[in-house]
Amino acid sequence: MSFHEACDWSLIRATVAALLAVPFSRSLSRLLTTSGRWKIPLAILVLSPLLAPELLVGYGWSSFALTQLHHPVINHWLYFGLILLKFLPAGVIARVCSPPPPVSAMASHTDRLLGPRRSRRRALGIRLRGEFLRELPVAGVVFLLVFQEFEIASLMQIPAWTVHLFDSQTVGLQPGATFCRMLVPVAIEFLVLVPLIHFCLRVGSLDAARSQELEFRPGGSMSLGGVIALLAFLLLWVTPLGLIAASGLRGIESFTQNRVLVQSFALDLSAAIVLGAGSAILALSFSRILLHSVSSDDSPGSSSNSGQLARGVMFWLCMAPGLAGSLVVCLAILLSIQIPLLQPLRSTIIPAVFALTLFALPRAVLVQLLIGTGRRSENGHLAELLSCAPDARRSSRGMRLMWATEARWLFITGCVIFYWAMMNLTAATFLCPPTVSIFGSSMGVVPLPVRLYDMMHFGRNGPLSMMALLSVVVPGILMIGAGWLLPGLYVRLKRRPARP
Amino acid sequence: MPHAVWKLDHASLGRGGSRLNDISLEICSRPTALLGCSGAGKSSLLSLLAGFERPVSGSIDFAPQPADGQLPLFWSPQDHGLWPHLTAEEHVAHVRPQSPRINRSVQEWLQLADLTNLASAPPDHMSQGERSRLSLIRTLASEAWAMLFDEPLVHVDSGHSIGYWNLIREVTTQLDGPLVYSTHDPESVLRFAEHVVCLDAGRVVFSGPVNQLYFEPPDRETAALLGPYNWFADDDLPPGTRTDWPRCVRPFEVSVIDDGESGPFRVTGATTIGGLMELTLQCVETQAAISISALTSNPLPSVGALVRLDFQPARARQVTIGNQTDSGDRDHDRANPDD
Repeated sequence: MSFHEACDWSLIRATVAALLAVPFSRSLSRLLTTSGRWKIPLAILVLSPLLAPELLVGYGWSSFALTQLHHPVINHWLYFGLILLKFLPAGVIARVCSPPPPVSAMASHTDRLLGPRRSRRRALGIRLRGEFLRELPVAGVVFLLVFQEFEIASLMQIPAWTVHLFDSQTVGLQPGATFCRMLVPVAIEFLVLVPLIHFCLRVGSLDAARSQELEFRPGGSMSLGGVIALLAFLLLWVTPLGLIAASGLRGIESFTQNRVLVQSFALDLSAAIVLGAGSAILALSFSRILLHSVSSDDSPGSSSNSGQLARGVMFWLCMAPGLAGSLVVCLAILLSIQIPLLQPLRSTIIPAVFALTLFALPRAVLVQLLIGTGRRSENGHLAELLSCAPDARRSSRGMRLMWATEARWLFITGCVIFYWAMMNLTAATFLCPPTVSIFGSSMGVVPLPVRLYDMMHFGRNGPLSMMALLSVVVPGILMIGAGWLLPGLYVRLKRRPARP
Repeated sequence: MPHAVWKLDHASLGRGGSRLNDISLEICSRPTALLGCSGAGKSSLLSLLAGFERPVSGSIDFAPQPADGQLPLFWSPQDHGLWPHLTAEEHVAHVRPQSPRINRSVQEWLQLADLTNLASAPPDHMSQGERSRLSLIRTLASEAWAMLFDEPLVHVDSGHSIGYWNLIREVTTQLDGPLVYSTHDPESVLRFAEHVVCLDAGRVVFSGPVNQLYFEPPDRETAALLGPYNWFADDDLPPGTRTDWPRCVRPFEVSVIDDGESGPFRVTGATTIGGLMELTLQCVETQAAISISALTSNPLPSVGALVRLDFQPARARQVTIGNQTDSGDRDHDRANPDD
């Protein structure tokens, strides 16, 4: 299949997914409006498919896809269903976090109440500036993510421009030639990105988005949302992990007996963890600076509208590379480090960390907007005031509250970003140096996603499944351990005389 | 003169002073109310006082004088600032000092806020009114030296709010610390505040005693913040009466007397609103039309009747005016309205 045919397939899938995402994400977002004890479990159920590692999903479903090689239609539909369900939560986040359109839902309804007296042209204008713009971020974000998907497509043998480009780059095509091929899909991405960014810049600050009341948005069917969420959880977490776990447990003995494999796996996992952690810290720090720069201090109509616009443009310039996808970012950086001036960087992990930071930046911003850690909160400040109490009991309660209201959520955001960055395949493949120098000696290290991806093409086997399982379990244990240790450490570090 | 607890020196908030603009102000330990229409900057000023935000230019100094073991400051913000993972009971228990000066148990605090049946409920399960009551008693139970309230009872029905205001006053009096609150309710200002700061578009337009704002407001907009008023421009009243009358006269200071055939005003319209009547009058001599709010008289003057207006200054006004005359500076405590 030619590159252009692969591009067409990606485009068709992304367009259909974007159209379906509008009603489906509306139903899913209704589950997020639930209050009470089910709020957090439902939020986890709705959003968790987005966190399902593509490599594991692809690996979990690859055997089934192999059995259907003679029925490609089934494979196509299965792949389409998987990526739609995986990226719908991103549409939900876009729905919740995007700025309100110029014409509100109530304004649209008020216009409809005028009935036949209104002119068709004006009615269309109102619909375009209301309902259309309200759904634009949802459809746009889902389009971009589906269009950029790579790992699942590759492991399920599905035609996609990303797979085509990745394969041609790995078989030795010059980065410049790869980049030239990439121009068409990048142009398509920017056709979606530009209006999306233009809309976000025009209709208001991100803080206005935070003040949006989800309840006032037009709702979908809650039961449909429940069915979608359950199906996504089943197909993207339970089934692949169940298959991998079953295979991995069978292969545990052969894995542990192969000391060379265990050692190289430990080294590769460590490399991925270091890369992921470094990029997550950088992405989180930059995202906080970016969010701070566009925060509420600028009310519309203030004297510094030009400054506000400049900060908005800067914000979206930083977000755009990551939104264009990690393959685009990595290939652009790969091309950049061919320049003689930047060539010394090729033997370091700096290009990989930089690429992962750019890739993770928009995700860090979106997650923070969703869970509200992008700005200081009143209840966090009250906890800080309480931590100033002279009596030790109230003071330590205040500090624990500070952790619970602010730092804990930041930590959770960091964990999510860390895992995305750690499991990113393209940066590890194209930008990581083949050897690293540890205590003066040079060692060959292949970050874990690269090793897993290479081995996954040879079918499912016990040791590989064990390694795939450990790539979820080990970071999970590390994050749980950090989550257990950090509150105490945080309280100790924060123990200082504070003033209101 | 009580010492200044907060001292703001040319403080601004928001880029270009869009939220608060060049505020120089001292707030002392007397109960202080912040008044102003929506968007005037009351919540922004409170968040500066609470240390939640820092001025983008200028400075703010906070000089607390808490007793041993006392929290210097606590705040009841507009969004209540509740901790979503704690129950109502835990909210109060978390902020209560180890050795409370006010002898009330957690249950008693909850009872005072009518939240006993919601003791185990998290904020998610409460209505707006219940959340604002929880935020209120959490602040009171903290026994902080300085307490700040941002429209604390805006979601509470007016029948019950007076009881909660009494509770705020009782606790802050007992703790002898400063109380600053924002409100749109004139009654809570007249009952509980001693000092008032009025804001408009991020600027202070008045800062002084409540009585001064009530009887000597700088302009109509500021006068309206404390309820019904009559505003007399220079040529609204016939010659002879003008010199005796202040610009702002509250309804209970005006009597409308039916003078048979000789009154200087003709009634052109009359209506009653509760205990007040609103009359539109026309000055017979100058033909100028004025509106008057006064206490309802019985019977209501009929349209076409000739009436005269009698001004009976309130005792509080005489005290205020007397003080101002003694000091020789009527506007010593008033911010420049043109700022």
